[in-house]
Amino acid sequence: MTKRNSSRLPVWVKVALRELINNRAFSVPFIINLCIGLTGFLLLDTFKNSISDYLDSRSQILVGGDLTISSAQIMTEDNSKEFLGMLPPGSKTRQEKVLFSMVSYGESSRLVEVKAVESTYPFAGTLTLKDQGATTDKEWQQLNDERVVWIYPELVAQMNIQTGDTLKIGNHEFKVAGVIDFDPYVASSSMAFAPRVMIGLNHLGATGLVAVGSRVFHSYIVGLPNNMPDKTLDELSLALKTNIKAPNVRVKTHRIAGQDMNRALIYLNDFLGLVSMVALFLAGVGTSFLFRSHIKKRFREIAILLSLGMQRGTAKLVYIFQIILLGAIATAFSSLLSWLLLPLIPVVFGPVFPEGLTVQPQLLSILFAFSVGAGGAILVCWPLVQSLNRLPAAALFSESFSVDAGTEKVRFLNWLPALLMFLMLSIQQAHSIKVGSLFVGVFLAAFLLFWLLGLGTLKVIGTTVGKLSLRGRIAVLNLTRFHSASLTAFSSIALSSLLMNLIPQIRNSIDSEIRLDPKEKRPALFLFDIQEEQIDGLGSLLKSLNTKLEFQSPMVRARLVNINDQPVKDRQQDNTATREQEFEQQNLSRTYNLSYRAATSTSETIDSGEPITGTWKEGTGSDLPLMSVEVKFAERLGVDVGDTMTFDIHGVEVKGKIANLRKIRWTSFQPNFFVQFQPGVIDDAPKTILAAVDAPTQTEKNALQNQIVKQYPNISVIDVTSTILRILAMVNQMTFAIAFMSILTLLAGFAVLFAIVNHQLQRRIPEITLLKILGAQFSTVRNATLTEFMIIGFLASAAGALISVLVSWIVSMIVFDGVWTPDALTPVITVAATTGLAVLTGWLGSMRALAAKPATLLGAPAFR
Amino acid sequence: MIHLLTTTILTLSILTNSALAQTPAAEKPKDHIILCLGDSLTEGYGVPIEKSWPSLLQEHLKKQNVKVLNSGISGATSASGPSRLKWHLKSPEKPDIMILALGANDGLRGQPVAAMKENLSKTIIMAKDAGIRPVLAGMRIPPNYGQVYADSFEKVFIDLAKEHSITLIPFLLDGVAAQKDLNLPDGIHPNPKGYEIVIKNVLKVVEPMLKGK
Repeated sequence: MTKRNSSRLPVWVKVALRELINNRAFSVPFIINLCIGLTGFLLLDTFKNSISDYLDSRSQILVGGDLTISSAQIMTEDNSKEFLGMLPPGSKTRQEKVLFSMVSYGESSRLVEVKAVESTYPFAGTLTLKDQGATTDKEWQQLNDERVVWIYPELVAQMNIQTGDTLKIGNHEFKVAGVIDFDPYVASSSMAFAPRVMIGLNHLGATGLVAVGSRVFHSYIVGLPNNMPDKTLDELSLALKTNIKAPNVRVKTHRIAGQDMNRALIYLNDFLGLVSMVALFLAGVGTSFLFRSHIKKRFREIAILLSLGMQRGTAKLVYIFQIILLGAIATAFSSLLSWLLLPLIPVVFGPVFPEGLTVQPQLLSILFAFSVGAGGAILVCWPLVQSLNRLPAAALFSESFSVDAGTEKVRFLNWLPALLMFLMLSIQQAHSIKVGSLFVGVFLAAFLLFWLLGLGTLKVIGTTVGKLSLRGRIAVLNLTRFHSASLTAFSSIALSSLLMNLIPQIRNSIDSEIRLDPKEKRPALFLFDIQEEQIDGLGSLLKSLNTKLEFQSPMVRARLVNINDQPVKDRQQDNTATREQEFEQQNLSRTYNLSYRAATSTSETIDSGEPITGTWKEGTGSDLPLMSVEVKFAERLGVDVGDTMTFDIHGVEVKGKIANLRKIRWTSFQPNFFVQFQPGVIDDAPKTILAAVDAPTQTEKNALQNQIVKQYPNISVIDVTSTILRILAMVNQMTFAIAFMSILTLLAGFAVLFAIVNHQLQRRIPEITLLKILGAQFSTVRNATLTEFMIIGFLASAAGALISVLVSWIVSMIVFDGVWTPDALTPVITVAATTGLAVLTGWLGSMRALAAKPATLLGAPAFR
Repeated sequence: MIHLLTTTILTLSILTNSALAQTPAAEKPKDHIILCLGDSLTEGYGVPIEKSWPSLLQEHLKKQNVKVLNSGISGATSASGPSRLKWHLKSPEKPDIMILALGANDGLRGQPVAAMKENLSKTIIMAKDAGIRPVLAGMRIPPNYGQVYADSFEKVFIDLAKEHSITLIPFLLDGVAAQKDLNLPDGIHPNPKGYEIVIKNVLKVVEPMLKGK
């Protein structure tokens, strides 16, 4: 900037810039502080906007258009006219009809999902065929002009059918024109238990499959005129839902369909958004402290300017301009940092990161971050800027002037806008008023808790002063004298430590909940509906395939009729006031799968009562057969140990006495039941057997599935390996993602500490120099200062770690049904690292103050 | 594992405080015990138990000394028929009439009709051997499963009735299937109004059997 240009600037701008340049000890930490808080926020906001763009484009592909209108029955022309008339001019529609049918090839026949579509079917997305690539308009036309089909690869494996072969669907034969390699239109799949076959809608009638009584899912895919805003789309969807008179017609926008498909990703992002709010809050705390230190040092100069005729409004403008400028610079740096960190996002989100999603810097996110950074900084610094109203010009001649003058009520009210902004941002991040408000409530409560905990701790350590060395005395006295600063630092570090520890603690419980006991085996395939007489044959078949049936569990279907000889019908009420009551009522009239087992499994533990031993025989031991009931199920039914329950098993009533209540680790993926009878009671009742099979490789699993289905068509085989692996991978990834965001929070915590150190030590320069003048050695003063930060770092991180253990215990009790496995190593590492970092931060922040020469004493603020 | 249940049930029926709470000793023996062996259509899926067709049958026959047992299990296939009948054969309240209403789930799952026929046949033979008069409830599969499959599916019931010379309810859901206002929104299970028609289909066959005791 040239001198001439600079002279054209208003005075307040020149003053503001000069102050920032001359006070780099304030402006640089201020930028760093805000930058750390904003980076996480900006990173997630960029990701969120990218997801939004992605879902917009992707969700259209998932449904094949903008909107679907569907029904589980054929919609008549009258029905369709009704809603087609409501669509805006320029809209296009395509129909699809989906049904299940038996198809045959040679001697074999299979159940498939037939999807019949129009020749101009897709509005968006591309279906690809194996060895043929992306489908063209010509091929879609061919699907309707000729009797050809595209089939899923599963059908190739199941029927040994190839391209060029003839598949019989209904009354007609179709030539297989291609095997589907990638089908993007998965959202329109009604159910996925049979492989899909695609045919032209023109040929559906000729198959004879659509007749009176046929079950057909009928949909209209709507392509709306280009660039229709989301709001209009939602309004149209609502209008259709309200005005379509035909029963059971569902209307869904592509966005809703997309959200359904990517729910895990959206929830995780919202949750991480809230974690980023913690970092933003801490950045606000740090910013406020730094600014307080800065403005306090400027009071004398401001008083001079005021006495020279500067307006108070102009003086305020100087600092507001400074905050906006620093906010803009912090946003610029955080944008750069976020841009560098963006490639990490796919790593952080792992398996939930959708294929094809690209995350790129978004101008909207940067503008939003700037408004949050600058606006937030103004709000948190506003109460301090307001203090200029109370600054008398006479302060110039005053020995001391307190910036904190003003009543508590006014000071509290000054903070309200910042708190309100925090609440609104939290709601925006969580996409829920309830969740966002709850988060702010819990967060502020936690901050308050740490504040009170810190207060108590300071009082306790204050009583030990007399027993300490000079170094310790100085450290403790500094902590207790400047308790407001100490408590803010304590609460910020404790909060960061809580977050850092909580995630691994909870993860440990999740791991324990899912992890297998060495004695336990996790099955690969679950087999349902095995008949008792099939067990031997099935066993032989599996033996020939080098495996065996495991976890065989009989399932006896029964209806609960009496509890303590009182018919459950008498307990049922016609009117239920709450959902819980309705659920209880449903429980009472439901049928259950009972089972029997000689001993508890490795996934069960007795919660109360006595274990059941031996087989029941009339006249021995208990008068009634004994039962073991799952503890939460017992709670819902209002039964306890000693109560009796009578079940109707196909017309025969069986009564049992509850011997114990049992806790079940449902995530063990082993067969478990609410009610287990003592052996010898319902053994001969009609039952099916549920069992599991272990199969080490995918090839063996496929062979097993084919063989079982071939020989025992009534047995349903479900592959649970992929489900278990998916859950485990998801848990690991979510934990990693949250831990990643927590690091930012910890950084923000230390930035606060740095800000506080900076602020505090500026205040303490006179004391430090006085100590030096009085003969205290430099090492004594330095060690006392470092001890102070060691104490605060250690106590705060220990408090955070302890509370994290407590919270993880509460979460385990509520969510994981008592499975609590505290992690001892993480708290130790966190406390040690945090204490070390606190000392380092303290040392970095205090270097200048410690190095101050005694001569500065006369110039120090307290001596002015 | 000790398979004492048969003995146990028989012994305990006269004992008080028994695990298997049976018909009170003083109660007059029933003239007929009708066992309804079926799936969700018999269990009364989605409607209160009193609205299921076995409960309606009991209600219609309340003036007669008849007991109706509802042995319907949602999702059950024909494969469960023999083992479930075995349980009732051991019961002190042994049925003398069995309405066999299984097979719908076999059809919906596209299972081979030959296997279904074999299972139903086994159940019928077991009933006849035990002196029970079987009634076979005919079932049809929606036309979308294909004419060939639907025909062969329906034929199983007709053939079985002929082969075993037993009474056939031609189609249990006659007048109900494919009627929107008589079914739940799933389009498969009857609603209470639908069951009022189902019971008429059943009574047409069962009442003459009771009269001709």
